[in-house]
Amino acid sequence: MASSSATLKAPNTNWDNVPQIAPRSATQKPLLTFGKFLTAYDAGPEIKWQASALKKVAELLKLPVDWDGYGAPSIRRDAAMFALEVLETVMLPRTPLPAIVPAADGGIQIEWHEGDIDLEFHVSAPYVCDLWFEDLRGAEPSVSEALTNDFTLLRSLIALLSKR
Amino acid sequence: MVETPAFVRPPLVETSLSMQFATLAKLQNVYMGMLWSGIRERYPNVLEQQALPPSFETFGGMPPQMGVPFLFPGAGSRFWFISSDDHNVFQLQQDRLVHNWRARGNPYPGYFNVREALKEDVRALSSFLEQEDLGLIQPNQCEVMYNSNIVAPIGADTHKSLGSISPLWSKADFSVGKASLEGSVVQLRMLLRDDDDQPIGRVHVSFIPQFVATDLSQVFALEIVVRGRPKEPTTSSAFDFLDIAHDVAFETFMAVTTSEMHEAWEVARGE
Repeated sequence: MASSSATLKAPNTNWDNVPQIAPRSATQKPLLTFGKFLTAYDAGPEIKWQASALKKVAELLKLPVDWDGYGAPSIRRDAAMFALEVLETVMLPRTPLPAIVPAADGGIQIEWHEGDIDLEFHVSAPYVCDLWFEDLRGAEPSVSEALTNDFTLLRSLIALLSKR
Repeated sequence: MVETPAFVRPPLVETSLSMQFATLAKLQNVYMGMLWSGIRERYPNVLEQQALPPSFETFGGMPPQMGVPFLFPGAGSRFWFISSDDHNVFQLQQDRLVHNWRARGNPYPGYFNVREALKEDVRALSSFLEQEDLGLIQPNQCEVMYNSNIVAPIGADTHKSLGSISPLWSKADFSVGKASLEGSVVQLRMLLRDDDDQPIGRVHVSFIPQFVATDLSQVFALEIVVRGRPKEPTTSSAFDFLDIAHDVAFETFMAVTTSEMHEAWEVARGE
C-alpha cells in the first residue's frame, strides 16, 4: 500500500538547517523545522500490519495438502510463527503492508512490490530463510541471500522500502 | 564444560532444560497417551496444559517486545508427565520437550543428573516417534533456565536489600524526600556469541521481589535463562548447546550475586 501523501524532501538536503518558521502568536507552539517534521512523519502514524498479517496467516494454515495441485505440503505452523516474529522486529511504522502467500515447500513468503522495489522474504522453516531484493530504478544493488538468525540486511532493505 | 562448585545451601528452587524442534504435526494428543503408557513407570502422574507459543532468538532487528503471544489452532496440548516424588517433570508438546527439576525440599542433584534425565526423555520419545512413524526430533532452539529464591542476610528486609544480594544494584537504600524504597526490579539481557563472534543466543536475567505463598516471607526471585540455537538440527548438537548454556548460566549466577551471598550459601568443600 503506497503512502497517501508524497514526501517533499529533495535528495541530499539537510533539512535541519532550514530556518524555523516563526510562531504566529506567543501562545502557539513553534512549527518544526522540516527535518524534524520529517522525523515525526516517519515515526507515525503506525500502520497496523499485525491484524492483517495474522488474519492472512490463519487462512494459509488451513490450506490442505496438495493445495497447489502439485503435491505441496500444508503450511508449517512453526515457519509461520517465525515469519511473524521476524516481521515484529524489522517492520517500521510506515512500512507498507506486505503480501503474504503460501510457498510450495510448506513455508511462507512475504512480499512487497512498492516504489519500484521488489522485496521477497521466504521462510521455509525457523532459521531457514531466503531474501531477494531488486531496485527497479537501479539505484541499489540486487540482493539474493540465505538468512538464518541475523536479519540486519532485511531490516535495512525494509527501511529503504519504507522511505520510497 | 566448566567444573562448577556446589553450594551446601543453594537458593535454587527449579531448573529446566528444553529443546524446541520442528513441529511434529502428526504427534496428536492420542499419541501422547500411547507414549505415556511406555514411560508410566518413571512418570506415573500426568497433567494436560495449554501448549506454549514458540520462542526464537533473532538478531539484527529491534528486540522483540513480546513475540507472537498466542498459538494458531491445531497446536495440540502440552502434557506434563510427573514423577511420583513430584521432583521431575517431562513436558511435551508438538514442537518442544522440557525436563524440569523442582526442589520440593530436596537438594539439587546437579546439572549432570538433570541432563541424564533429559537424555532418557529424548531416548524414549525418539524411539516412540520411530516406532509410530511420526517424524524426527530436529531441534532449532535450546534453553537452560535456573530459578532461585534469594533471601537477604539475616536481619535485613529482603525487598530493600537488593544491593546486598546483587552487584547489579548499587544503591543500598534509595529515597527521594518522603518516598522511600519498598522494592526494586532488575532485568537485563545479554547477547551470547560463539567462538567466531557470531550471535547464537541471549541470556535473560531478572530479579523480581516476591512473597512466598506459604508464609508471605519476602524473597527475590532470580531467573536466569540462556536460550539459543544449536549448530545443527540434531539432538547431539542440542546437548552440546545445553552444556554451553549451563556454563554460561552458572557464570552469570555467580556474577549477578554478591560474594556475601556466596558465603551464606556456603561452597561445598571437596567436590
